[in-house]
Amino acid sequence: MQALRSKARELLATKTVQVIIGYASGGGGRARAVFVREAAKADALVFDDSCQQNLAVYFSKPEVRKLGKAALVATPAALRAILQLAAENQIAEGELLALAVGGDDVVPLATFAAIEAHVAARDGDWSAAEKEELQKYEAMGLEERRRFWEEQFSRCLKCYACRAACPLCYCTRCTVECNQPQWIPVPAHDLGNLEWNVMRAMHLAGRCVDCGDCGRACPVNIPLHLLNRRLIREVFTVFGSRSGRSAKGDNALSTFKPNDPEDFIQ
Amino acid sequence: MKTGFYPGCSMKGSAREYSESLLAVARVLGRELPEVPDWNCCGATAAHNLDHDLALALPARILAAAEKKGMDEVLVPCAACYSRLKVTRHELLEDEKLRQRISGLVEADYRGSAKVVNIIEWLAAVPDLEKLVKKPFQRKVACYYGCLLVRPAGIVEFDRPEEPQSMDLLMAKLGAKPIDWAFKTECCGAGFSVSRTDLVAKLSGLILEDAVSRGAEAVIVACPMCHLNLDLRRPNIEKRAGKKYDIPVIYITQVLGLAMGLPPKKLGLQRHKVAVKFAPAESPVPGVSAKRGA
Amino acid sequence: MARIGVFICHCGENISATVDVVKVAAEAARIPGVAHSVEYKYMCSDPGQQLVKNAIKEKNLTGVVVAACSPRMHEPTFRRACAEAGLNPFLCEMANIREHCSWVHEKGEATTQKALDIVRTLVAKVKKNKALEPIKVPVTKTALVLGGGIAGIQAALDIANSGHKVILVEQAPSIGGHMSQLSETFPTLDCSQCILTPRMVEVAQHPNITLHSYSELESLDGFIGNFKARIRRKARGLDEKLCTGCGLCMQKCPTRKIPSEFDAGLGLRPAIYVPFPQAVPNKPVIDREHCTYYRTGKCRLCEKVCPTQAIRFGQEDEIVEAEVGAVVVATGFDIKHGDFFPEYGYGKHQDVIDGLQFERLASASGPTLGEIRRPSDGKVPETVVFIACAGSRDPAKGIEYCSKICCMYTAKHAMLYRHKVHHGKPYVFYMDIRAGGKMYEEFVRRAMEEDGVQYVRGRVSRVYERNGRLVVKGVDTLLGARPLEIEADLVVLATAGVANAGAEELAQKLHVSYDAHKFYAEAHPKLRPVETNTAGIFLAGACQAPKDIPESVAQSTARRRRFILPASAASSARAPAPTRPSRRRSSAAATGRWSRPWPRSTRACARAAAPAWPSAAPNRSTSRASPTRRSMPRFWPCWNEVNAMADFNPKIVAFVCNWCTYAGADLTGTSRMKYAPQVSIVRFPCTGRIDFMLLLKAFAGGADGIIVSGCHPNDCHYSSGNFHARRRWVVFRGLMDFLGIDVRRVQFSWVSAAEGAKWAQLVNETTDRIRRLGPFADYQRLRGQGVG
Repeated sequence: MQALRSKARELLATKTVQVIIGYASGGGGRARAVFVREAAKADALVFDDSCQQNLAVYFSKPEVRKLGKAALVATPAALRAILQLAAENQIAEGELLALAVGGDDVVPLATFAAIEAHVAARDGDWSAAEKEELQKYEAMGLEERRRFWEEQFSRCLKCYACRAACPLCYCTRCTVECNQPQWIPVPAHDLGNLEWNVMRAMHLAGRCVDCGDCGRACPVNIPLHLLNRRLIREVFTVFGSRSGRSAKGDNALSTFKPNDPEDFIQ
Repeated sequence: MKTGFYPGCSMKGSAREYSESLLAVARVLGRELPEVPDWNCCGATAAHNLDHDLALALPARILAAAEKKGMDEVLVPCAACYSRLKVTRHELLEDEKLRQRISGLVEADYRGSAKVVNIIEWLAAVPDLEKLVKKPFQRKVACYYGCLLVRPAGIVEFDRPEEPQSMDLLMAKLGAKPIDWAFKTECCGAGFSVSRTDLVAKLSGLILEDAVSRGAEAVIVACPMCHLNLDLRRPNIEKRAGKKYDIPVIYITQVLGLAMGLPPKKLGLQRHKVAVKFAPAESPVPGVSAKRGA
Repeated sequence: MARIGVFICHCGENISATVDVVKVAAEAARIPGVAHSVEYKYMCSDPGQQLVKNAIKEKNLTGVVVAACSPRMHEPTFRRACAEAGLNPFLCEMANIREHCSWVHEKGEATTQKALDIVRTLVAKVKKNKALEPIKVPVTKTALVLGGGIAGIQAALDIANSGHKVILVEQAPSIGGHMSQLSETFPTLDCSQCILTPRMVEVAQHPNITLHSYSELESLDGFIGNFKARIRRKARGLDEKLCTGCGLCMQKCPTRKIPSEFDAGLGLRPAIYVPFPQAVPNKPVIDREHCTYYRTGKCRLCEKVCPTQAIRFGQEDEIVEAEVGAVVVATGFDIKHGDFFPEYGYGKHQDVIDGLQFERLASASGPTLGEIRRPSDGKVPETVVFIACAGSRDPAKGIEYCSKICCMYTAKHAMLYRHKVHHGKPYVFYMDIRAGGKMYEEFVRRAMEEDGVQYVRGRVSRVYERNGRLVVKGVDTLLGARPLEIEADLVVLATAGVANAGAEELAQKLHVSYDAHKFYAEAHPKLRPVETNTAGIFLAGACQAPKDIPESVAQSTARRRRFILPASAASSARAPAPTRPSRRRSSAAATGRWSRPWPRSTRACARAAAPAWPSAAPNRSTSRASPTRRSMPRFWPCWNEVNAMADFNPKIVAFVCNWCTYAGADLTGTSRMKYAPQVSIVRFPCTGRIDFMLLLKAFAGGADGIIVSGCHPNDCHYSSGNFHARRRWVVFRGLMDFLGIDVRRVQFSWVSAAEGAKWAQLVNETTDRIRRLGPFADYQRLRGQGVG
């Protein structure tokens, strides 16, 4: 943490960046995002186990961009998000300085290549617990899963917190905001909730970097991240692609191979 | 893979040596060939000439029994039985209502899970067959397929119906020299062996003449009917042709047994009408010798 | 305020025989927004079109729906009529109640209701259509002709003589194609090369024609009026400007024993060669595969002897770019070679040859200088057996069609043989004689009656060699199936005409459709035989189907007219591709169709219609035993529900692409194949355009099952739309399964424009499966909660 704060002070003092996007203590033992613009205020920065939120989400907000060049306190998921945003031409080289924090170390990563190398060195599969979670749902039969998700979606408020929390949901006009026609209905009823969640999952297919913020953001505790995880696994198993590992390259769903599997097609 | 064995009537009777040689060879290969329990006659030509239901029910009963015993495939060395069983399986799997009705007739729910394979398919699937060859069968052979091993093509789906090669390839593995000849799938006279032996004499005679004229030293068969017409009816053939033919007719399993080094008596070679003897290598006209049985 | 006009066509009896068109017109009048609804016998006729125009003016219509044949047939007709009456043509839609309804279902109330539903769907759609203007693009007045056989030559000359420029691309070193290999042509017995070579020379000398021989099409981009072609000029190995065609290199080349392609393998040629003496251009080509220098690094003798130093070893292929306005595909055909008739011994016996090889024997410039001789020993054959239908008309061999030209050329071959070998005995084994052209029947008669060709009606079972001769075993069916054995010296097989080896690859480059045999598909078999579905690409000659010289020439000339007229315009109008049609149309389709409950009358009649299908709902007595019932416990307890399932008429929506599956469904209709009526077809430009949300919307709208179908991979009209769709579907299915939504309710498939039978089978199987899965009650419960 000290290393982080002194690095932040240095960056701001030398005007290398105009703002540090990091975590500060919130209430109730939680962390919240903070935008430190003065070196003197760098002590507000913290980094501990409560710092889970994917701060890369702020980088797609125009209000934050206006603050100038930013340094971002980056969890591994946030690093992947940065790479994916770069691959989608949302960030240019040099617009962002990533501060990868691990233990007491702060590793500044100024180029995409550096971030790629850092991510690759620490890349791994899901933890045993994460795998188990997904498997638990797959072990249920179709009918049980259907009942489970019906029950989950019945609580959805259509607050779109999941959308707000996701770094890759950066469309200036989301499809749900078009009302000519209203493709996804606005009120929170079962059908519309299902349609919204399907759309969200599909629009993130091949792009989601598995930060889990959607599930964390949901005020009624719907495990939304599972939908995204299931598709991450599908995309990897079937097409061999993983998002968030390279600042170049195409999304799984905007490319194809001539011999993609099609055993389900008659 | 559990393989069952359906001998059929002829393998227990007039084609006993086919069965003997098959079982002897199977022992060397280390393959068990349990017979389909309580098997009945497949119906052969008699059934399908008279009644369609009977023609289907008889094989269906056999196959249902094989399924019940957990057999994944049934080896049917007799080409006619093979044809009946294969066609029955095909027809019943194509037509659900028919399958239900025939299943009712034989009082067994026939599902079609057991595949039906002929002797050549079964032997071709044996890995590294060449390694078991101790005495290569270095003779020129005419492989005679007859009618039923590779036809009808749409049902049997095995080898080429007009110019088959599977037996030739198998014989080559055993060290033999299969010749190219024109009568591989020409009719031998089949069931007219009894009612119109004169026709068999003519048709089987043409087959032997072609084989002999192209230098074959033996005719290889995989069907009891073919063997009967080409071997047992030899006197009729010779009478009609006005000349002698010494060329022996051997079952493929017997050739395999000989190549494996098994003694001829174990393979039933003594049961043939035409002695299985080969002219010495220097002889100018292979297959024809001055003295019979020399 | 919408004022839609609905016009129902009887189409003679094609529609009215199975659909009650009067009733449909009456019911359509009651659809909200419909201001005018009539029926008429032939809507596409002049008076029919006049009805539409009058109604537009009198009733101030804001949109028109013509319920008739497929839009692929008459959409342009009716759009033009609307435009003439002052209504924007894009406010006119066609409801396909013929190919997709009256032709594929039995007569009855259910079929009438389906027609009405299709009309309702299109009315809902047209209400949301926007008026659009065509986009004007300048037109390049040059044509690209692919293929330099007789069809390509004729097309090139016709277009060039009309004052337009032509680029002619031919794969072989010389133009001429198969016609240059022939000896004499039927029915006139003209010398083939004598009538062909003047045209070949004309092509070479024509100021409007640029000839690229020994070249291939590399790629084609763009659209009608504005194509960009890239042509690969393969390296001949010489400087064509310096080469005089003296032929010295060919004489001196030491590698002389290469089987000549032009002589169909019966003659030999050197490694540097001109395929035949009258070749155009008369410049040789170095065959790098066999040339000693390219194989071993030694020789280069030709370079040494060439008087003008024209040889260029190491020359590379060159890419030439061209802008053209239209493309004529005249790439021709081939005859089937190979061992697909093992019992005839082709390939095993040297004296069993095919039709092209016989042509080369008979040809004065062939390997035997026009004498009929056996390939094995060079002797003159005393008896020749010709076997017709060697491969054609044979479903077991995979070629069900008739190759059209063989009866005629077999008669010709037999006659030529007799003319050259006066004592020779020709036999022809045939099944039927197809001699339907002008002077054709007389030609065959002449062979039989004047030239003594022995025609035997029967097939040949085997050809084998015995004592140096070929024994042909056949049967004479006109003499009571009498078996026949003929000892022949030569056997000639009239093998099937098939598509060229590179046909599929070229079709994919051009985005033209082709059938299962790789023959190119015309836009309409009767009315548009020289066009393809890709605007600006035309067909000529045998690449479309086996045909003879007179037909190929006629087609090329006809095709010329089709090209000239659009090319004469300074610019062409392109129909604007609608930008966002699918969302609205499909949601309209999905909701518009079932926004009201399924009419009770339809239900009753659906019950009556159901027994037609073998897998219809089982009757009461067997329902208890049915395993299907047991596997769906929620239907088991309540007998009413069981009954309801017996009446269950699944609602299935099919999202299909216009170029392949929609056309395939049209073909099903044209072929009068019947299939289950529960499917409603929605047309998309491409599967790539089908949003996954549409599937959910369809379920929400009341669908129990969905079919999504388009072009096979590599055949997409837009190159890669279906590839993207395919990936999307994989992901979508994974998500659906995870959410507990039964993906078996969505059937994905590839159905091409030629697969009419497959479409019918697909619909029937899917309907059956959905019926067994039952109504999609779970999803529809969600919908009950509020606004859809």
